[in-house]
Amino acid sequence: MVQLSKRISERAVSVWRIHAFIRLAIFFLGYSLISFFLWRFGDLKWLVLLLAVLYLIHFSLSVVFWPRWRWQRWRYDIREKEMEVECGVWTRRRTLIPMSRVQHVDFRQGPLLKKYQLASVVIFTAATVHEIPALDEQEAEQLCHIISTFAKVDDRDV
Amino acid sequence: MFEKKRLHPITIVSSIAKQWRDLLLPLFMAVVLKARDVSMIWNIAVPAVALFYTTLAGFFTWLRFTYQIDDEELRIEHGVFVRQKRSIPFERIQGISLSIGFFQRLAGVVQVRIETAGNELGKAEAVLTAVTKEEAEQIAQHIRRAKEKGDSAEALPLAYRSTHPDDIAFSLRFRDVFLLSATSGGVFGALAAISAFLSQLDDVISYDVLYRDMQGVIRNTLDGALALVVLFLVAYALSVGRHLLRYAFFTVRNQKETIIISRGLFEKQLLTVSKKRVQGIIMKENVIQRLLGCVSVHIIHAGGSLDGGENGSIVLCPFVKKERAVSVIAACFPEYCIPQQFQPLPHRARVRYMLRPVYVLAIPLGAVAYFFRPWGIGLLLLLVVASYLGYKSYQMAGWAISGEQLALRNGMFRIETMYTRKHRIQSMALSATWFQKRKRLRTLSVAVMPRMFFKVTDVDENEAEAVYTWMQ
Repeated sequence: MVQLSKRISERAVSVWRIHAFIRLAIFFLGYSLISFFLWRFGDLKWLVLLLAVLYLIHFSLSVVFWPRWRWQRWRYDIREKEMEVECGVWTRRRTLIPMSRVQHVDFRQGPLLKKYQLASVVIFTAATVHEIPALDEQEAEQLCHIISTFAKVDDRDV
Repeated sequence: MFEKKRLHPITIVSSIAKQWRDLLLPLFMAVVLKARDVSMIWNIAVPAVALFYTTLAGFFTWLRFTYQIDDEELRIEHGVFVRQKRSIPFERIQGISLSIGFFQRLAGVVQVRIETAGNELGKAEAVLTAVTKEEAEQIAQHIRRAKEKGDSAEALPLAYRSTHPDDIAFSLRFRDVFLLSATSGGVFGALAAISAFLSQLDDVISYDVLYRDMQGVIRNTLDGALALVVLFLVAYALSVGRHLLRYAFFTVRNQKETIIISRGLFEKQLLTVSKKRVQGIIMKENVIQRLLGCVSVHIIHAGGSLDGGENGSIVLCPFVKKERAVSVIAACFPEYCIPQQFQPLPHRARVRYMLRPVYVLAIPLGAVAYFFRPWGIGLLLLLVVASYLGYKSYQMAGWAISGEQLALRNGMFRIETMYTRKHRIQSMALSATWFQKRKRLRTLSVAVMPRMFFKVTDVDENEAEAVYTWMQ
């Protein structure tokens, strides 16, 4: 199969890194709480060390590497009759959505995305929801418009 | 003509009865089990208050529920404190189901459930608990007229007794009902229900005491086994009873635009399903059914589940010989073709299928085996069984395309085959983990309804891509 042509904005990497950093900061509390109890009440210093190493691996993976890998693998394509989305680092998944099945399209922008002038486009069919995250603001708006003109839901088939 | 109407007053009685049914267990506990240490007044006051409250609630709910049928829509207002109004245009109604329960029969009325298409499934759009048969017919006629006015030629006829007796596509024989309950896993369902009920009683009955008493009763394992057998028989009887009530007089009528399913012993139910709304067909067969060469056939309906079962899935044939199922489907849905060769999975998928159940079981079984040495080691034999089951499910899995139709089959204990047509598929996805990619395998999944995904794991890469391009 041919590789899909369009990619999402590279600024997505920064946004995802910030998200991951916040998540990992919360995780840090959990890790340190467990470490504290292990240190204080059990003589399990090696376990604490192991936890610290695990945390570092977790941190570097999800903050440093994962967002970049994720961005590298994110691709999509919009055509008149159908749209395709491909993503996933460990599990690569390519999804085909016929335009005639699209029911409506959402434009979504959280505070962080807004700061980076990015936005997500969410596509709804009668059965599924698909999100193209972190597109350039203008591009997202344009995409919403394109999809809604292509998508003429054939009401006979739901 | 368009006046606001109330439901038949029998609604009050039926709603009180329903609330009492829900209250029975807590009340029973509050009164009988606490009787020893609380005064007599408590025993009278609690049920009295409950009765008073439910009567009041039932009455006011009935009083505040009005419906109105006009030319274009059905308007419903309800809510005792917070008023809610809802109007449902007739042309948007996808399915209608009538049922006659105990109370409805007493008053000579019917219950009408109405479904519309929408993303939120599983919830009936509107339920009119008790209306006269004439009104139910009138609603059905309005729906038909609204559909005809729109260009879609989707008619929704409603019939209590069909005028042509020869349109019966399928009817369940009485002895099949017994076979059905024996094979559908309902026994285990009933067992689960009983154990759930027992665990509910946890707070009331102190199991420690009970256990000590039981030790006296069940002195040896023979008694224990006997108790198990009795429990099993009770569960079986319950399951047969439930299936009898649910599936007795099960009849499917095949009309031009619709399928009409009627069933039920005491509570009669009549479903009218528009053929245009059928997204696909599922055939299920569990281990015992497979031995008997039987299947159950379900239709995936884009208007929610009218028969109160799983979301969006309606039973077409609860228990039927496979050949018969094929002819029933051919009669009702001529665009589907059932007997066909399935494309098997490639040989390199076999190892993955055989190992997958082993991965899941290895750690817990290993741990148990370790703790119960040396006899626990025998448990590891289960891994062999699991891997054999995995091999079986490898043999069963497959896919098939014929013309516009896609069929996917998978399962371990229960084989499920889903048939759908190209223009019913909402989205199709190919995915591959790193391991799958190395072996040039893909997972093919298809969505036809919300929360209804069907997938086949480990399809050959090229074949999966062929299916994907078929969809394009």
